[in-house]
Amino acid sequence: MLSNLERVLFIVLVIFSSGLSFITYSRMFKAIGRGTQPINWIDVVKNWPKGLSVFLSQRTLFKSRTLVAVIHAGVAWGFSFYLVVNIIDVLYGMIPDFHFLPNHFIGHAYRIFVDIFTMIVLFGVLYFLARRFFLKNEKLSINEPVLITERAKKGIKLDSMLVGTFIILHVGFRFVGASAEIALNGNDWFQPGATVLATLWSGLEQDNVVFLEHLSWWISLGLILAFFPYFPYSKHAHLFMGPLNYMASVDRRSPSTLEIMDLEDESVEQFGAGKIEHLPQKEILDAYACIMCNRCQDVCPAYQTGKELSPAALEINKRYYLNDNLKDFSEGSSSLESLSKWMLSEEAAWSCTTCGFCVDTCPVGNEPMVDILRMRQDLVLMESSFPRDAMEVFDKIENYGNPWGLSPQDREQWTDGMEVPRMRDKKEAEYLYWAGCSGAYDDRGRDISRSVAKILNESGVDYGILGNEESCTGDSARRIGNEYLFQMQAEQNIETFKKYGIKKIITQCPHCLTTLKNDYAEMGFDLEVIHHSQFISEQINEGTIKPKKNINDDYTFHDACYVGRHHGEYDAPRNVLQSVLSDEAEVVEMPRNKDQSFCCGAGGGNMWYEIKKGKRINIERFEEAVETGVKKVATSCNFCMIMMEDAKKVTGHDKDMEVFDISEIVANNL
Amino acid sequence: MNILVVLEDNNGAIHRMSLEAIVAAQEISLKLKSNITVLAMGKNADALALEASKYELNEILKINSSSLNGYSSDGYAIAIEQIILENDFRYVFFGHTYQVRDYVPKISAKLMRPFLADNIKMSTSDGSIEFTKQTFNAKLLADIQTSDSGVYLVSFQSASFSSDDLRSGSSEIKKIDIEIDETQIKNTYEEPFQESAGGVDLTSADIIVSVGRGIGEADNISIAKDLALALGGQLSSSRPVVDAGWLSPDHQVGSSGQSVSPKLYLALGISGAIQHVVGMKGSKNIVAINKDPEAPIFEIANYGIVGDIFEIVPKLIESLK
Amino acid sequence: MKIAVLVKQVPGSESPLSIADNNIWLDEEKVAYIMNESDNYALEEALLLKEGTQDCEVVVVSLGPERVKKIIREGLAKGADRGIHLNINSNDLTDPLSIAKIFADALKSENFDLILSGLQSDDLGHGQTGIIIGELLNMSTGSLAVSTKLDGNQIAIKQELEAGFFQNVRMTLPASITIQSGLNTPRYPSLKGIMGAKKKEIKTLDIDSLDQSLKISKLYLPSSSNEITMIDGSSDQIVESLVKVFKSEIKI
Repeated sequence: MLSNLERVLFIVLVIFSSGLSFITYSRMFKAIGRGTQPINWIDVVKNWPKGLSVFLSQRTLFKSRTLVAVIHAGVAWGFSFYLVVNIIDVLYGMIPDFHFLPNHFIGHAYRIFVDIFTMIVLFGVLYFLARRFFLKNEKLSINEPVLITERAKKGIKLDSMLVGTFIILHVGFRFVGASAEIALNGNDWFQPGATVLATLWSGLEQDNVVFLEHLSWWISLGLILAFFPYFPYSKHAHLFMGPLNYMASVDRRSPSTLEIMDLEDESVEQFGAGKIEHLPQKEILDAYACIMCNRCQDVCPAYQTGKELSPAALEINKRYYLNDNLKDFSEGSSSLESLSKWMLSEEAAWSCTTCGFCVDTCPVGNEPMVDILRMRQDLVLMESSFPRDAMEVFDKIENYGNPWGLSPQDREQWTDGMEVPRMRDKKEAEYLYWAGCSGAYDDRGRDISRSVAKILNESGVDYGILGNEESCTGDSARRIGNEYLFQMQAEQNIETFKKYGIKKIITQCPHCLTTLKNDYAEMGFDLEVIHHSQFISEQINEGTIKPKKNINDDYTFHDACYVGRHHGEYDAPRNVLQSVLSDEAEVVEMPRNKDQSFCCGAGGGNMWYEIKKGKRINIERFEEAVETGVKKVATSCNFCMIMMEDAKKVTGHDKDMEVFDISEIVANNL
Repeated sequence: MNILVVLEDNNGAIHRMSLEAIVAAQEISLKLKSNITVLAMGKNADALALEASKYELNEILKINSSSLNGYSSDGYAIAIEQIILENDFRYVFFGHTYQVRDYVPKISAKLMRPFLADNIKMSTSDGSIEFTKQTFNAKLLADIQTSDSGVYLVSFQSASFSSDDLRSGSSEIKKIDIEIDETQIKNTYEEPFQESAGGVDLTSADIIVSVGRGIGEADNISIAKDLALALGGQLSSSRPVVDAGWLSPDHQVGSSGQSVSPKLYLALGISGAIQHVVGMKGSKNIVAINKDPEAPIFEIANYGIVGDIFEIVPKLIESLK
Repeated sequence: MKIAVLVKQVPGSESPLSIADNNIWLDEEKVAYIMNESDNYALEEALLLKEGTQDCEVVVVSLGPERVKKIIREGLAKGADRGIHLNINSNDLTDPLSIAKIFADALKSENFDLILSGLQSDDLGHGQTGIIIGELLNMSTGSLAVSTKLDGNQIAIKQELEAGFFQNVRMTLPASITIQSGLNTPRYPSLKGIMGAKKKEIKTLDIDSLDQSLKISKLYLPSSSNEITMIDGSSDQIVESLVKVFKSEIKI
């Protein structure tokens, strides 16, 4: 279709665009390559089915914002289809008299799809632009007091505008070009849309229509050539970086179980992440996959209660830092500023409760929580800069083996008046029942331990407790970033486990659960660990315990983050709860339940220090429970229990509402 | 045996704790044959000696030396060392004040004789005194015997004896001179001053009145404040009170607040949750008033009252006045 | 400038305290040991002074059996330059005078400009050792310091007095000063510090048994511990009983 001059010009522009793209894309990949823990790109490429499946199915978007996900699917499929369209358009332009299967049914099908997808993409992108710029959807903004540069704020808007405009013009002018071709060559009812548009040109002279066709071709494809090199600076790179991120995903035992560092290794200068180049390559890749949709922020308990933390801002700041420093950074200069100055404030880092929702909800497989954990490691191990209360907790764990700093000889007090077998007497048992520190020292925690022991005794299962030989698993230390203290605690407990040949553990504390199961496995010691809700549920199913359906009150259930999102168990606790509810009573779910559960606020060390800003997270969650109208709240975690009881008092529901652990409810109704 | 009691100056009057030390000496003299000498020195030596003359003592030694007009640890240590060397005292009693903690160890070093500090009790056996002091944050008591023939420096904890028990009498004042080499006084001291009341420092408080959620609302805290005032103590609270904004965070006692160990901790309407308890369980005496007989605070309190703080506290304030 | 920090290893506040069969000391088996709290503040004060002074060395010194090396290492991990372990195979060191003499004899040749130690130890709490050492070494002494400031060859301290009063005291170095808790925020050792501490020098000096003139003849639980006395009756009766308790039992 094109003239010879045009063909030559096009080739020149392709070369130019390719050259420029080579520069920008290689900078992008070199920047990713600056990180630690090198990505094995061969393995990544081998993982292509995963990337393709995520891309084509669009399934990761449907975790939230359903309407947007539907429209985006349309745009994404349309855009993918346009890959073929662009190639065929180039051939049409460059090869004389080229037409794609003008009379074949495949050609017809092709043209119908082009028409349909053109409509879908145009409508979709216009909707997105309207949502951002006219409807000004508040989810797309990042509020005070989160650290986000003006540059990033303005950049996001500009980027959206540019990309939106690019797509509209690209697709739009392709549409105009198609209609011009129809105006010249006759109606094609396999392109109904373009045909209707062609009527606009019926009054134009032939030469003008030809001109229109050429112009449209140039704008449509020229924009591709112009934009392609720009993608590494735009969030639009998610097109391919998103699926790539999935293909490069790290297999973690649990969302917050990081790899174990060899702290004795003298050649290692840096533990944790203080600067961007200390992050693993995968996590720099995260910044390129980020679509800046803010879904992670929507679900973050810290952000939702007014803290400085927004996981979205974290990734966005990272991306803009890379954009602003791409040339130097990709060439190897070390970054000047520490992460706490531009990516995430220190207070924001401490505000994270490690609930894992941000990781769970991200449509492109980002892990902002992991970045935070690495930053904490740097703040604790390298900088010694962390909340004072956290320091006291470290000292208490180190000196007394529990975060409360209470006597290690008092760990068995909860067994007073009960027959609870000790490992030191039995020497071996099928299961170890691990009460944990809360289970040993906290009043309500002790109630839970006694309930679990009662159920264990009733079930006839062969078990024992360590009692005073238990020492803190080190969970709080690890999540706050004190790898050294965690490893010390782990080594100590592993020795005890070896002494008694322990292989299977039942525990009520989800934090102990994840640490014993996942983090100790990372240390090289494998254990089979189940949560008490799973154990009790099993026993009910097997009939070894027979709870009576005595309870007539409705209950609502609060899913613990470390049983739910981190461990994948949502049914067992509900099964346990149902086992004691009569036909008159039911479990009334809170709006945010199961994998959508809203954190109680105690995780990530926040149980011990509290970032006093905005609203208290536990109050936010408790109010949700209050709104169900139900008077009884069931939990399955010591920390959640403490948080809910606390919130109950502060919100003035001390008299009319009650909080129970599922084990207590069962133990009282055997 | 001869006992020397060193008098500390409280703006021209004998410091209460020195009076208590005299009571201790007088008690000993009831059980063991002894002579009690008191030492008055410093710029108000005359007044101190005069006041001492109304008590049942054997002798009052008075030093009027210009080198001792202002307190200095070296000056006082040198003076008392001389007095001890020139006399034959078996025991030298002091009140365990901050000043005594500052200079008496120096006397111990000079004489190479032990200083038994901060005792709460005494008993006599075999013609010598056995002293008792608190150890391990007052969790355990230790008895210490004094059977050597040399002099023992001894100080007593505040209120281990009561100045109410002083026996009156009369005694002669004897002026003595001592030599003090001024070059030996190594420190220079400025006048003591008080700091403007900024921030609540509970860690050094002897008496604390503490409120919990049971106080109900912000306005009710005034009764606790009044009680604290009447007792000469400080006001503190558990966490929920601070969270509700009724008191500023520096009042908070607990695992994420201050840790306190006063002589008396009066817990009003505090349930005794562990987060609070870890911050005050070191208190020497815990008195708890709570409506709920099952409140965990009663597990760690020394004295418990199941009752209504709004009935009891106002009456308590009245009786203390 | 050479600063010595004297640290003592004591049972933690939550450590079980079971009394040994001889009834004069603890059963060491179950004790959870930590660095004495006010010594920790003294250590931090020394490290702060070091940070503000050119050419300054901080030496951590502790007296006790092998286990005290742990707190010396802690001091090194926080930033002290080297340690001295006065190794004595004895668990019941009860006489501050003889303890001070050991320190004074061992440290004399080091010629420290400043010796800092905690106000008192959380085990026996005599509160004298630092001052006795100063006196034995003919140094200036100061106690209950809530702030310190070096000024050439002098040091100025703010001393805490009773009832909310303070006093500024100035003295010439060398000086031995006891430090009150709470005057600074003790740092947490960084990983580098912890790892680096393993390489720093700890000199061990063996000490023969000592002759103590202050000995504990009996160590025991106070008779009325953990037993609550309930006060009941009408509110008037309660108030009356309470006032009596205040006056005679609690003595306020």
